[in-house]
Amino acid sequence: MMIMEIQIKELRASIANKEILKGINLTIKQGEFHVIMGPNGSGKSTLAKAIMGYPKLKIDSGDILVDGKSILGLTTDKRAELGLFLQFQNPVEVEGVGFLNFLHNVKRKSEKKDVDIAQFMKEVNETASTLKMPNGIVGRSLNHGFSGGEKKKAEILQMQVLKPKIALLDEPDSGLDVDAIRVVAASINRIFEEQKLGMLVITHYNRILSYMKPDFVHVLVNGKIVAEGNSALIKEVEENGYDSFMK
Amino acid sequence: MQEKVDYVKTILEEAPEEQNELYKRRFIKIDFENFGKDNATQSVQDPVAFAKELEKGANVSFDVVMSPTHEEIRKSGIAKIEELKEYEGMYGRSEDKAIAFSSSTPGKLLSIEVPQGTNQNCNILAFSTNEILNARVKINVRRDSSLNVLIYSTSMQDSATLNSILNEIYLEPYSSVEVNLINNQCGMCSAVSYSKIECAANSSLKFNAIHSGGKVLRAKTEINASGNAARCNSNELILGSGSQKFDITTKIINNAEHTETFLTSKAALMDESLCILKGFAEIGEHAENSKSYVSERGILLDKTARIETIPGMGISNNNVKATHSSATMPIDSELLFYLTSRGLSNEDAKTLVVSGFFGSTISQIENTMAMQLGEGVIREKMLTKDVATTPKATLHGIWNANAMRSADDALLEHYKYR
Ligand SMILES: Nc1ncnc2c1ncn2[C@@H]1O[C@H](COP(=O)(O)OP(=O)(O)OP(=O)(O)O)[C@@H](O)[C@H]1O
Ligand SMILES: [Mg+2]
Repeated sequence: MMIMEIQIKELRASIANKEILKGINLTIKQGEFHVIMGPNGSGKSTLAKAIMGYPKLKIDSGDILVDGKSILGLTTDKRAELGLFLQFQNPVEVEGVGFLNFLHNVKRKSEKKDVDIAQFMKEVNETASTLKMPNGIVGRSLNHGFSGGEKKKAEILQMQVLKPKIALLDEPDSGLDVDAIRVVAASINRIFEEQKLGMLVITHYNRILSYMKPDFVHVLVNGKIVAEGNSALIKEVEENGYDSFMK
Repeated sequence: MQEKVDYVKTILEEAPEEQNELYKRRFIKIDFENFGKDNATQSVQDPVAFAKELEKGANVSFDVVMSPTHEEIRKSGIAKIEELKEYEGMYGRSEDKAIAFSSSTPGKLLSIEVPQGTNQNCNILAFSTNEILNARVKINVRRDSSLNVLIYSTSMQDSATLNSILNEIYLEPYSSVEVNLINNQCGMCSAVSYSKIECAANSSLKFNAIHSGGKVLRAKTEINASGNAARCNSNELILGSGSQKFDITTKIINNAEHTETFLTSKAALMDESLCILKGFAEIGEHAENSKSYVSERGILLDKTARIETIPGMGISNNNVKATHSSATMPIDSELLFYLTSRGLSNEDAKTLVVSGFFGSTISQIENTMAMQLGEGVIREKMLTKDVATTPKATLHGIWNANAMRSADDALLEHYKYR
């Protein structure tokens, strides 16, 4: 099996003339588990969106490569086709569009063939149940009226079904209660083990990290990666905060 | 023909009954310059063949076919077509120039009588060739009976003409009616679509209108809950593309005790299309304990599209519940980013958003043929961006609200945690 690799090289990007990413270098391979931590507004979500081709973001210099080829010219849907997946920090509500039907169709599109309904629903049911999603919720409109935590779980459910090669998870833990954090972390771990995907998890909290074993930890401050290491770095952040990384 | 054209030219320019200054200023004029001209080179299609082709492609069947040169009643025992020189009916002549035109010009009157205590259906195809269609439809629904009617109004391709329909509908006490009106004329055709509906005591009305066609479309609807406890529900969908212009005025009136009137208008506009939505709620002095609800919503799918919502309200009774809301916005770019991040193209994502936006309206249509036809019109238009397309029955996809619903059902069968 070909292992997918994303390389971010000296990436500088801005929104509305304000530079947000100030020279990012990062490589994620399928099978690797990365964590990014950083203070509010440091550019974590922007980095994830940049990988996915966020239209409002202007890439000023640098490159994003997938398997050696630049993806900067690709639209967002084409990047998804390559096997990239972004779990949104704030998933958008889509009125009138059934969650199940949406997911089924998107899945069909990504597999380029018909998807057996019974098998598809088996996977949905099992995942919804391990995620402890409330009954009836996936029968509703996509994210419409979902609580913050339900939205996060629904994103993980989509990830499970769509089977990306590299997934960017933007705060899978925010808005979750203590029990839900454990449940979601367990699901993420299981998907990571089963699907052997590459993962970049963005988070503020150590709580979810106590259930996770990332291979690499990066600290993003003010648009730059200021520290990198293994899970020991998490402890350092926990003890000293981000101040010690700022100059 | 030329006489008619000249007459229309002078007559349809303004609607004198629109006294409200704001309404008057937002009035889309119909340009009559091309009526009857561009078609000189066009071969006239055979109306019968046209109807058959449409029925086959869209998997529908019509009980009544009306066109300028040909009309037939295929099945329905409740319908009758008369030649009429003049006709006023519910409409006062002075009320509107379009009405004055339509009622004073010879044309066809389709009258439908629903006998007491019966349940009836009638699907009507009304279309203009390169001649003006001047149709009048009069429906009378007797006590304790029900009617479901579809009026699909369209034009032959490239016919630069006028397609005019006046509907007049009367609901007797305890009757129930669903009207489905679909306007899908070609981009050279001007369309005038007026409906006046009166609902007697304890009757219930559902009026669903899908306005998608025409170079310029003027629709005017007046729904009057004139009998105690009448319930009227009006749902309008407007889908514009190219340089289409829509001038939509809808008035709901509570004129008796315990009446309920609801108006929901939704417009989705692409390209440089323009829609002026005028929703007006009037509550008469005898409308004690009544409810009135108006909601106007719009989505702009392109930066050049424009919508103006002009709500109005006139309340002459204090003991009523009346709400009014309007909201228009460009399609949310975050929403598009979200949907495309799952692998949908930008166009598919827009189509999905529109089908979701319109979905709740489409799915409450009881007449399956009307529902499928309406969906087909919307879907084809989203896919092609053409002003008017011929709806096809077979397409299946994420943007098909019907396919969506049946797929949802199929999926839900396997869904354990309902
Ligand atoms: N669409 C936008 N328009 C203008 N500014 C933006 C936009 N999106 C992000 N920004 C700005 O970019 C900076 C980085 O935002 P980003 O969302 O990437 O931060 P973050 O690290 O994810 O923060 P948090 O931990 O709060 O989620 C912030 O200053 C934010 O205000
Ligand atoms: Mg963020």
